[in-house]
Amino acid sequence: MVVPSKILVIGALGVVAVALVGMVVGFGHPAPGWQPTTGASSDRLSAALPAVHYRDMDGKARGPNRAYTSTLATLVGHGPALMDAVPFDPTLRAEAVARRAARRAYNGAPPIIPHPVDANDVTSCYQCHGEGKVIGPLIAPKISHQRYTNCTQCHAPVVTETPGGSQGLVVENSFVGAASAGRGSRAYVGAPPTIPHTTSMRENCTSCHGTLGLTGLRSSHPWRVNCTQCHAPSAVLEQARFDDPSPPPWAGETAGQTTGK
Amino acid sequence: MNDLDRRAFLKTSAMAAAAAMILPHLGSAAEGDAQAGDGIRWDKAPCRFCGTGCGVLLGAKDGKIVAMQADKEASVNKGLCCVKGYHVGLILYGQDRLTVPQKRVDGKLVPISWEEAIAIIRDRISAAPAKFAMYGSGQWTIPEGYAANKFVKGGLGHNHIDPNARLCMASAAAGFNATYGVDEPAGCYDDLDHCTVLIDWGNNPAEMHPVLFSRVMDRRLKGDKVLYIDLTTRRTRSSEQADHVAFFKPNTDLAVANGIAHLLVKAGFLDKPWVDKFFRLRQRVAEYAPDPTKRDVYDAEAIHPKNLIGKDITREEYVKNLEFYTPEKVEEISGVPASLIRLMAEKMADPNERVLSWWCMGPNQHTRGTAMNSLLHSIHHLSGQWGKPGASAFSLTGQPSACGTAREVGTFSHLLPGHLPVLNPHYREVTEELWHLPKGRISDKIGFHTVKMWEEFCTDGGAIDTIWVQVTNPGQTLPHQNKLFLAKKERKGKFLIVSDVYPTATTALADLVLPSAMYVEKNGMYGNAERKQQQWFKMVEPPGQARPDAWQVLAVSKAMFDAGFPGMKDKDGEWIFAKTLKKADGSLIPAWDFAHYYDVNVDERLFEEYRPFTKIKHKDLAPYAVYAKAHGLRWPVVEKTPGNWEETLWRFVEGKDPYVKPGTGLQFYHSNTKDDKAFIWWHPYEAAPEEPDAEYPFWLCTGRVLEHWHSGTMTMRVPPLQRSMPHAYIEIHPDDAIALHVRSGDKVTVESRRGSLTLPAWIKGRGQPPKGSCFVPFFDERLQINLVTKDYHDPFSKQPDFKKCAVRLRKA
Amino acid sequence: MSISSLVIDAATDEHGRQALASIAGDPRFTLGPSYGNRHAVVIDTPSVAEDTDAFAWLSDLPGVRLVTLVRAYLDDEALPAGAAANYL
Repeated sequence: MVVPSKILVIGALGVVAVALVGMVVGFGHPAPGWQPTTGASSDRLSAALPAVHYRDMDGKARGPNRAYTSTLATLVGHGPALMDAVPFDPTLRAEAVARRAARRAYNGAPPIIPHPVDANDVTSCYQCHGEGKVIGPLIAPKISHQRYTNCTQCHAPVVTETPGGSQGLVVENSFVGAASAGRGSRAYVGAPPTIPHTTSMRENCTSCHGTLGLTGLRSSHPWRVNCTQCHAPSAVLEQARFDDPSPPPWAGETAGQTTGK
Repeated sequence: MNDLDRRAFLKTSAMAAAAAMILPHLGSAAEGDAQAGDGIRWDKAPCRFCGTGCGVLLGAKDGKIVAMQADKEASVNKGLCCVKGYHVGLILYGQDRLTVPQKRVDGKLVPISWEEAIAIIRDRISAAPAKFAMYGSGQWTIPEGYAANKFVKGGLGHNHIDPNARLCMASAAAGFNATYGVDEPAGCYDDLDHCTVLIDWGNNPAEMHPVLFSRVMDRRLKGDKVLYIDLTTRRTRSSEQADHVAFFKPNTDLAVANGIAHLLVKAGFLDKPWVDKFFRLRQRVAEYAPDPTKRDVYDAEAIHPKNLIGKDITREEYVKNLEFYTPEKVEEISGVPASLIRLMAEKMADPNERVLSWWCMGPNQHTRGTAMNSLLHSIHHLSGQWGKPGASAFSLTGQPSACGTAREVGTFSHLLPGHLPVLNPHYREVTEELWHLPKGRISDKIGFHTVKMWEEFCTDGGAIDTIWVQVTNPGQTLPHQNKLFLAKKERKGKFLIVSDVYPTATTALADLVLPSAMYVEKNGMYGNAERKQQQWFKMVEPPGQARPDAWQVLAVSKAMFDAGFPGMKDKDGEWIFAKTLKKADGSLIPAWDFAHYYDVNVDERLFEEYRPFTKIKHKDLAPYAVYAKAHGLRWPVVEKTPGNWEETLWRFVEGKDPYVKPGTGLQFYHSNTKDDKAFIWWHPYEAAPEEPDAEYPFWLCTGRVLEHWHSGTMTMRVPPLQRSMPHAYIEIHPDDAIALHVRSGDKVTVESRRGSLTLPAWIKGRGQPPKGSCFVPFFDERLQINLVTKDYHDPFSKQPDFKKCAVRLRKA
Repeated sequence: MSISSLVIDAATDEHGRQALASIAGDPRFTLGPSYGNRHAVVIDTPSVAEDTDAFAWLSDLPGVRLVTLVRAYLDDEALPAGAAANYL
């Protein structure tokens, strides 16, 4: 694991705070049900922090102050327990699917980041998304794939980091992404459904179907860990059957005949 | 928590809330009942963007691309893309696609028919063929570039065709040629899986080659030790993951390389057995010390072999030349700590380490680009960090087919297909033979390189009066825009033809605009930075009347032939593309008529005609049908047993390269000195032709960002990318910002001797330049930094230096 | 202190441009990023009354076609220490 040595424990706390604040700010609606904290934590606020110009806060300076660091523990909540009953109704599922779709250009696209990020710090993503976290009413999902070092390689923040200036060239795009494929098929009533999507970059089923998944997508049996034992992936989606038996008409005279590698 | 701070916080979060609301949600179609995979046809293609060459699977449904996946079988990216690749299909669907040919009438573009457009080009070229030039790109597919190359060099009998790759990796090509006698890397991306030390030379792979960057960095997650050293001119995302970051002053990378060579020599590496056996010590010819400020001297010097390959020097001379470059002296020149130079030399000297150097535009866009590229190869030769998996010097490229189309197909003004120099009479004969042309058709004069071509075009009475641009955007990417592009407005009798997919800064000045089919709207083939060719089939129809660039060239060529233009005839008086398009029964497929373009796979016909050229310099390509099946193959691709085509991972290495004789160990079989030896070069460090002074006190560097690709024509039309990075900015060091009274978001005017631009500042943003320097990305067509850059270029490669010039800054 | 988040829909004509210019020149408002003709705006005033006035003024401005309130923090009192955290 690449953790620059400059990140000390205290720094890591700050990173959590950055990520949390970023996420909460980015979702853009207040979290109801928060009780004011009192006591020791506010004592540490006595030393005034320097004022930051508003324009400077748009970029990296947005972030935690001491209040957040000290009240962080109270922000983190708990999801449903493993054995809790899982509500299911088609409306919840439709809502969950729509919510996923809003963050993806097409089914299977890497989701955009819905909150501002400190894009230069590779460790901050994993503070919340490494194992998944509940923060008030919000959920930071656990990453669905193996760890990579460069999160922003694939995930772009929807709120730009760049300060000032206009919005740049804006051209509408008529691309319509593939929809979620719907539910998996069942061989018979009561049979375990097949996996209706690729498992590429979604190796970790609990990311969406575990206890921290969106209601409507959660598994009724999250304690079972070997998902593909019962749920079969699709050969087409898993790129296991790539070569099309019938080349297109413009493939040419020899394509599809020569046995190459 | 004080009041001001709280207020600022509340305002920030309030703004973030409002900002989140203005952005439309990404729309996926409504979820249907369809079963998984139903109705989506998946097919492979390389990514449309950079030179990495990731394999992508695109899913088409009802005639539209609807989804993408990273190709797990692609050896380059193994099932992982970057954010651009995951959204590559969206580039087809920007709402302002060009769909009809247009002609400028009284300053306005008006729709015309394809027939009229082709006739205009035919007449314009036929009237003055010598004053016509073609400007293409490393985004041409291999068959497209081949057709254009044949059209100009075989049909018009001159060599005024050049790709935008001249702005991108011409210095890398010149460095390979100067060192090995043949172009392109000996190693491949597999080196990334084996290296133990990785050195950046002025590149930012975390943003520019993210997939390759992760390929190395993710090894660390698995417990591999990779020491990562970032030599850079500004702090970048890559720096964040480096073990050592050192900032060098612009242009001093030559001094750093010499510093390493100095220490290797002191450590006795000249006595190592491989030095005498495989290499010669070399330096440039003494009488040729070019000064890029003197353009006439530059232009008199073509890429002459004598200058490019230099001359032998003795061991004593080599040692004496390096004497000056002690680590302390190099620290003084470059700013790189002497301790780090020692560390790099120690790592290179350690036979247990596998040291990989990689670079991209830093050493290429450099007025000493050829020299710097040569030095990078040389320190690896000297140290023995070469020819073993993981020990290599690797040149990255920026365009998907800079290697495949610009370099291998030879669309440069000094090359013929197969990377054959046009100055060589034998190669001209071979080409005339293969193209079935009369002797002497191919000109023995090197054509105009990019800068010269546009300079002539933008000069009244200049040698070029018509340019046909395909697949590139010179109105944004040429340096010194005022001189090399915008001056066209004031010139009389100049005619600009542009084939493109969207309106650009180039179409803004075009007299004729042709709508092109792009990417998977046509068949295609690209060649990436590691010598890998990747093929794809057309998956969807282009919009409106958009048509492939190769068709456009064929149609013009046929129209000229029909009008009796002598150059379009081969030695039997037939059309020069007749042999390409003949059926077995001798009849001609009328592919110039678009209704019949897909009667046959024109790509395959052109590619098979091109293949014999590739064997001449051992860049052997397999038959088209093999690529149709494979997920890319690295040349030379040799048929080991019938039907079994094998790629080559490491060139010049015994046991890896099929052309190396057993028992040789290493064999540089295209050696400039015909003795199977490559070179260890010596080049001095020299100051840049324009350095900051009292009047223009800042260095300016330009470059890219992760989300956008080159001039942004495609990526600025992809909502997730555009939103994430909506406009250009200028990075300034915080201390300089204080001195200028500039805060993040304030507008700053950056001004050089050539032009100026005003854009917002980003302090402590994604990158941070050292004090006294600034950085601006070039993707934003509304904030064009190339108004400010200069057109000085390397004497050999003719590649301009976009990475450094002197500017002044003021708050706007 | 009152702080409101708004999204305004500005006309694309000269009125729209003038409206944006006058908003940009008014210390009560901060113009944020925009997408097409939609612009993020924050109102920052000392009191609720002034916030309401600013909202009304904005709604009446020629060239502003629609004002959408995203959320508001309306308070005539100074915040107690630490309260900002709970605001979220």
